Order: sequence, then C-alpha cells, then structure tokens
Amino acid sequence: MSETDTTTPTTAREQAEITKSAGLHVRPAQELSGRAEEFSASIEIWKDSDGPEKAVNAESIMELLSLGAGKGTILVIRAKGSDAKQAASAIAEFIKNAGS
Amino acid sequence: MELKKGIPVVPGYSIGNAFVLDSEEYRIPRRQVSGEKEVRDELEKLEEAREQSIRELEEILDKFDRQFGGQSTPIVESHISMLKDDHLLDLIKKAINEEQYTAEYAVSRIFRQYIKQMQASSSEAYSGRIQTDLNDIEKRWLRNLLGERRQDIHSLEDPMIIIARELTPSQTASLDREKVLGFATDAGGRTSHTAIVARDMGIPAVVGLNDISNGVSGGDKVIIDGNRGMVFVNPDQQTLDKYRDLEQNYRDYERRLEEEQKDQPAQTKDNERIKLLGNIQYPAEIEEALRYGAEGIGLYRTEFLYFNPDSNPGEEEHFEAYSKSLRKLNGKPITFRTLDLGADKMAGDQTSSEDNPFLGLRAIRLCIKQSQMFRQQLRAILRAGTEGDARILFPMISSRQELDQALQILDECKRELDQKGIPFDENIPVGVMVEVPSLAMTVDLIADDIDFLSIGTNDLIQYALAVDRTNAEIADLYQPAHPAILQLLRDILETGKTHDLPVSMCGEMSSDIKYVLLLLGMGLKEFSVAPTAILEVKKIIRSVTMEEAEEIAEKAFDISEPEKTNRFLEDRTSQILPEAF
Repeated sequence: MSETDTTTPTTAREQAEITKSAGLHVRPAQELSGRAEEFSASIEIWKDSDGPEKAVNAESIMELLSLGAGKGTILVIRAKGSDAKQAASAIAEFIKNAGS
Repeated sequence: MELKKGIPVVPGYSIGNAFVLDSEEYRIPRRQVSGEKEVRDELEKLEEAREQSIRELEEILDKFDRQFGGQSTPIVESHISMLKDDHLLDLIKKAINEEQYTAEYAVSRIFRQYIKQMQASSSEAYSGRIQTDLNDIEKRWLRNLLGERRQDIHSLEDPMIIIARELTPSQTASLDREKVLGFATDAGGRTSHTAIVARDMGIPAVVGLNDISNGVSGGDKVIIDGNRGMVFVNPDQQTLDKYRDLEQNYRDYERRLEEEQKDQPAQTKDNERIKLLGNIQYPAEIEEALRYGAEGIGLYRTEFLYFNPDSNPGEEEHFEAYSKSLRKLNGKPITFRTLDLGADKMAGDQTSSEDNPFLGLRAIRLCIKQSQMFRQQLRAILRAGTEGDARILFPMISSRQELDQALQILDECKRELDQKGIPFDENIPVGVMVEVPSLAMTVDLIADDIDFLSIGTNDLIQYALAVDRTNAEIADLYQPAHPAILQLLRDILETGKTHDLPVSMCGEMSSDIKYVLLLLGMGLKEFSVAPTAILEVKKIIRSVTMEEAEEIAEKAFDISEPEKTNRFLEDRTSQILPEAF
C-alpha cells in the first residue's frame, strides 16, 4: 500500500482505508489530532475521492471531523518536514485501526 | 440564497428574521459591531468564554477522576480538544475580524458551517452522532458568552420567524402570537402539532423541511411561502421584492374577503343553511373566531390547558377557563372535547414511553383509566354549562363499551354535583368523535345514545390508511381523498341522516378549502374549521347550489385516485377562489 514520494526527501505520502464501522468519529479524530501533534512534520489528510484540494490539517480535530470519513473511506496522508516518513506511516497505521 | 422545500400547511407569506429554536431555546441574533475597539472586545469575550468552557469540562474530568479513580471520560476529553482546536478558533476570529460579527453570532455561524460540511460529505449515521457533540460544545460556548443575555422563545422582543425541529405543545402554549411571523420545521405533516397550532393562529407555516433547523442561523433573513411550501434563507434582493409584493397582495385579498363575506350567512345559492364553527385551543382565540364570523366553537381542544409547563390544572382552573369561554360566546354554542392527551400531545415535558403511542393509552382510554383527572374536567364542564350553550365531546371512542364507560363516569359526576347541591347543566348534549375506523363503521350501534357526531379526520385518516400523520417521510401517503376515506365519510354522514343525528367535521380536512365542495356535496352541514379559514369556506359555500356540490362530489367519488381527485377539486375550487392557490 505504501508509496514514498521521491521528489523531496522531506515529503512522504501514504494512504489508508477506514475499516471500522463507526468511522473517524469524535474520539478517534481526537486521538489522531493528538498523534499528528507529536511530529514536527506538518500533516495533511484528504479523502481519496475528493482529491488534495480538499486537504485538511491533521492537527485539527474539527477539520478531521469535517472530512466525514465513515467506514470504507480511503484517506490520503501527506507529511512535510524532517520526520515526514515516520509521521505519514504512523498516521496511516492509526487510521487503519481507527473507530470501533 | 438557499431554497428549501417542505409541506405547506398554512397559506400566506411572511418575511422576517429567524429565531432558531434548539432544545435549550437559544436565539442568536445576527448582529455586527462597528469600530476596532468593539471588534477587539468581541475577540476578548470569545476567548474568555472558550477558556471558561474548557475549565468547566476540566472540572467535570477532575470530579469524575476523583470519584472513579483513573477512569477516563473520553467524550469530555474530546470536547475539550475541540474547544482547544486552534483551527476552529481561527475561523471564528476571522468571522469577527472580517465581518464584524458579534462573538456569539460568529460561533453559531461557524458551527453551522461545520455541520453542513459534514452532512454533505458523509452518511447520516456518521454525521448524526457527531452533530450531537458539536451542538453540545456550541451550546456550552454560547452559554458562557451570553450568560443571562440569552433570549428565549417566551419573551421575544421583535416579531420573528420560528425555526425548529418540531415545536412541543409546551413551547407553543406560551408563545406570544403577536411576535410570531411564521413557522418552519424539520418534522411533521399536515396534521402535526405545529401545523395545527399554526393554522389556528393563522400564521404561515411550512413543515417537513428535514434539516432547516441546522441550515439557518438565528437572525438570518427568511421568507416563508405557505402557499407553495417553500422557505428561502438569506434571499436575494429580487426574491425579496417579489415576496414583498406577494405578501401585500395576499393581505389585500384577505381584507377584501373579510369585507365581502363577514356579515353574510353561510348558505348555498339555493338557500341551504350550513353551520360554520371555529376550532380553538385557548379561550383567547374565541374573539378571533367570532371576528371571522364563527357561529360558535365546534371544537375546543381542552388538553392545551395542560401544556403550560408551570400549571397543573385542577377543577377550578378548568371551570374558570370554560365559564370564561361561555361568557365570551354570549349564547353561541361551544363543544368541549374532553382531554385528548397522549401520543403526540403529552402534558408538561413528558414524553411517551410506549412503543406505539398513537395506538396506546391516549385520549378517552387514558381518561377512563385515570378517571380522577377526567372527573375534574367533566365536573367543570357541567358546572360551566349553566352559563351558556355547552356540549361535551368524547375523543377516540372505538366501541359501544367505551362509550358506556365514559357515559357512566359522566353520570356519576352529575350525581356528585347534585348531592352537593352545586348547580350544573343536567341536559348537556353529549357527542363522540368519529376518528377510529371501528367506530366509523358501526356508528349506528351508538346513534341512539348520543346527541351528535363530530368527524375527526386527522386520526381517522391516520388509522384507516396506517399513516403516521406526524411522520414527514410518508406525508405523501396521508390522503384525505383516498377512496377508503371518502367511503367512510359517506357512510358516517348517511348514518347520521338516518338517525337524525347532527354530524359536524372538525378535522383539518374541513379547513382545507379544496375539500369544501366535496364535503358539502356529500351532505356535511356543519364545518368546524380554523378561524382563519372561515371566510374562505363561507365564500365557497355561497358560490354553489347543493345540486352543483352534489355533482362535484359524485365526480370526485368516481375518480377514485387521490391525486387526480385533488387536482379536480383544486380546479373547481380555484374557479371560485383563484387567489387562494
């Protein structure tokens, strides 16, 4: 699934599908925004079906909720910064298990 | 500009500012401030209220932690992180900085935006859950912003258009009708609570709009088109101008109608006298009904005495309301329908816990079971009856046995008053509502024991067609012109004629002007309608002969397809009242 952006070494891109039925609701969105803050890289997320122009800031719980990401949604994660690679894969991993 | 479509329930037009009613009944007016200092003050207020809200939630967490040690409360934590979300704060600040909105309006507006965005991008199940959380946070923030300054529905300062999910009886009970321009609700059908109240108040209303309460912010400009079932939010200038004209024309039409019809008798061209009565829920509405030329009150929905949240009416409160009504009527008749509580009408703030409230313990069933309340009311009506022409009407009777039980309780009340030497109306006429199909089909079994019948079409249609009349999803299946309904009505009217029993109709069907010709032709001689519908109904009656009406009824019967029947009736009615459509 993973594909590392090779254009600049400080950018990383991943995608992940939400598999749990409740989707990215309040609690997982809060945890996700918390995880995103742990990295120095800036992290953006968008719905694969919407495209990058609808990207939101992963550190904002409100923005994450506005994605309306229910079960089956494929999210694309793009991180920029020195720890971009770790950030993108950690967030992708989180999303795969998000929800209940 | 945004256009929303719903079900038109009360005709007319209104233009005004929105009062959005949520469960806590806040109203956030759209206001702007001017000047740099004022903007800075708003920003400061915003931050203070945010910090206060976060502190409150942290206290809840602490308390919880002390009580349950180490247990976390994830939802509270999530609410805190939403309040701490810088992105959210930036958006609200931006609205204050750039648009000069007040802090409370900016908060309310940004939360509406988030909810809309989420609804657009996800399933209802997903957005519904999160919406509850967002509403919670918004309310907390607003409460801390507004403190005591919040305005509630019971004390509106300016005339407003009320936007809500659905109004509860206790909310409408204390509405100041001078301050209400119109209603627009998410839920409901033609005979839902909001629709009935709006019709009696003569205030334009559209229901069944699905999500209007989330699409409008308090203070937004709103147009209600009660003729076509449309609501415009923040209309453009062109639409606004068009509706100002329509509103004016409609007012002129109503005025002309009043001048032309008010003092005329309700009779057909060939001099068949028809009785035109009004439906009311509060004694205060009697004046209005009389002003429109009502010959009496055909339905007084007495349960509304119970909907004021602060009152628990006893016999004296009932007596006072009833004798006041009789004095106002000055000899004209009034029919007191005994308590019709339960299902969509619960007293105070109660909600029903039954699985099928409309098929449950409601109306006369509740009265017979909890006869204490029923007896208080019956004694009050009997006593008040000495002051005028009072009648008693039992709702929801479904069988002979039920009627016998109700009549027995009435007899016991009479005996009790008699023994105590309290004056009362011994020969008060008693009637039953025909609104349960089982009774509708066997009216002849009770015909000799009562003095009159009143057809309650709202419930009769709902029960006969198995269509919940408060459910907007199936509002199109609620069809007064369904052949089964027409058949039932014809049979009831026939039986009434055979037994020389007066039959009136007090359901919304008789207030719906397109059915007047049909009902007249079927032999209905008493129409009890919303006061504001009296003049239109009268004009229609006065425009035809009985023979013409009978012909129209025959044709309507033959069509036997509700939509086509409606179109046919609308067409015939619009030849008489083109302005009403």
